Amino acid sequence: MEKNILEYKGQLSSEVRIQLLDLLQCIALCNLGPRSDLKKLIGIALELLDNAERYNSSTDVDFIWRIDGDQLVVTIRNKAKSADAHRLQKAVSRIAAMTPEEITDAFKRQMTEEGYGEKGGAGLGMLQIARRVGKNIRAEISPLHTDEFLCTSTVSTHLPADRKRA
Amino acid sequence: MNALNIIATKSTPAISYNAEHAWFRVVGNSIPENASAFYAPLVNWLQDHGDQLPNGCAFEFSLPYFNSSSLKALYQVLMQIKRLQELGKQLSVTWYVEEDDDFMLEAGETYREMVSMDIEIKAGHIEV
Repeated sequence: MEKNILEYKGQLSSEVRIQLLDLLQCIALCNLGPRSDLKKLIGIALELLDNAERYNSSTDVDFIWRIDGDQLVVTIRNKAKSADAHRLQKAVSRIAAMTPEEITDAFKRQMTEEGYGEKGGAGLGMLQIARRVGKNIRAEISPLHTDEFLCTSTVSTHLPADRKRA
Repeated sequence: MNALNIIATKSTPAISYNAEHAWFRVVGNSIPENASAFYAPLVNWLQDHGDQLPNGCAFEFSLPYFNSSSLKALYQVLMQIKRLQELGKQLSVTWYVEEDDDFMLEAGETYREMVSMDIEIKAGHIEV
């Protein structure tokens, strides 16, 4: 069974991101019921929205939160400058080549480094997601103009039954 | 000692020091776009005034949601607290976790391991 439980197409600003978080909390609880991993699942969406807001070359995003069988699938699509699009793809490819231990080590290394990216990013978002979902992260980029790409990030995660609360 | 009180917004937590009761609280969602900029006043305050905190001062964190940018910024806050402890200050750190919440529990445990600090993980939440 497949159903989109939240689909948003439009402008992404800080205010919209906050409203989407509120909506996700409400909708996730209604559709998935009380679960101990609910915040982790919402946290994945939050990281993807953060990335899209930070590296968007326009103001719009397509964001879908979907249940597909026993999987939760989060997809976000936004335009980005070439350098940002390629950085995203490189980060996801690098994670795909890592073992779980290497992901944890990279996460710890990144956390203890002092610097932030020029756009305020900690460089932890995708690593944080990977700690939760393993390698179920995909990033596809396709050229729109010389210096602009369409980026599609998809994260899928199993919804274990034992995280449901009575 | 200069006071430090930052009012909560929808995307940032309240940061409040209560000298009378000797507690320092960070309470609320922490999902700013630029967490480094948001937490800089707290890190700077701890660097400049932390040595004037009374022994027994309690640092309490109750954050329903936070993004990875905040995770890194809070690590820097905790490292400042650890620095003060190493200078001889008796400071405690409590990390509040709402009932059956894997997200906050995992974060508290990650900090405990990474900062090598005694962080008490307590059920519930607090208000400023």
